[in-house]
Amino acid sequence: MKIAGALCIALALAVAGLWVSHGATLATIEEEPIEVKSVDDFGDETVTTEWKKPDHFPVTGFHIGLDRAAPPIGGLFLLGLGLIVFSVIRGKKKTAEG
Amino acid sequence: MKLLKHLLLAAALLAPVASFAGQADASDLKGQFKFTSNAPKEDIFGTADGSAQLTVDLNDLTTLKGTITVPVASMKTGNEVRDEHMQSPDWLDAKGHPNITFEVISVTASPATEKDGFKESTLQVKGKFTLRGVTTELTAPATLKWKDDGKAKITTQFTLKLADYKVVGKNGVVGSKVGESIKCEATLTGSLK
Repeated sequence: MKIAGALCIALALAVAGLWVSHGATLATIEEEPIEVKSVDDFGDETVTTEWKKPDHFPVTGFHIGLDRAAPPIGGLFLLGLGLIVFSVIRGKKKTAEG
Repeated sequence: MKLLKHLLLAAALLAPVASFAGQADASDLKGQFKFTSNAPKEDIFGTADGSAQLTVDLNDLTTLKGTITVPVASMKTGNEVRDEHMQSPDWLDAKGHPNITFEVISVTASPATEKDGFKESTLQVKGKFTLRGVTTELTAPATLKWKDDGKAKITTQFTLKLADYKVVGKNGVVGSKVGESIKCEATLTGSLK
């Protein structure tokens, strides 16, 4: 039980690490702006923005912001903590029972 | 009858020429608006579609009149949930106020300069800017470029204060995750014919 709890906390930390490596942004970047340059009829360089799904982020390829990372981080951390606490309480009870 | 047909045909053929020489109809200008919010917790960049229904006598640019329209539903920031929030009643209220508009009231224009095959003038455009049903007066600098064949381009940059339009969002978000001021820029191109 303790090992499962530690594993959950480690997984939560891994997701947190992934979020940090993706830039630690609040919102997930589902599409990112790509600048498309061209020369218009007046000889000016114009920059038009097109939206593209990002595919260059570490591990997942797609981007993870805090809006998507927070639920698994929180859930896994609480589950891990719960399992460890439950395991400690059960261990103490067993010791008391003798 | 034949003479009438010829007259109608001649009128139809000459109408665009007359229009361009005098009251040009610039109803076909379209382009992209870009907006940027810089806040302590988050920077947001977005785009929107824009179109302009304008009329102008190119010999006197101060006659420029018309409306520039940006549909709120076309605004995009790269995050679907954030876009939904942006268009919700707490923010820009896309259902209640589907368009952001700028209606030109008056224009001051620098003398047109002629460059490589086109003319250019710097404008100060004063108008009524309506966002979320709130209208304020706004003066924005703009550059108008046009060619004799009717091709035209308008570029502008201006800044909006969300509080001026009673856009407050959820408690405390403006000023932390969303900037109190939004920088906007637009390029509209099309034909004056």
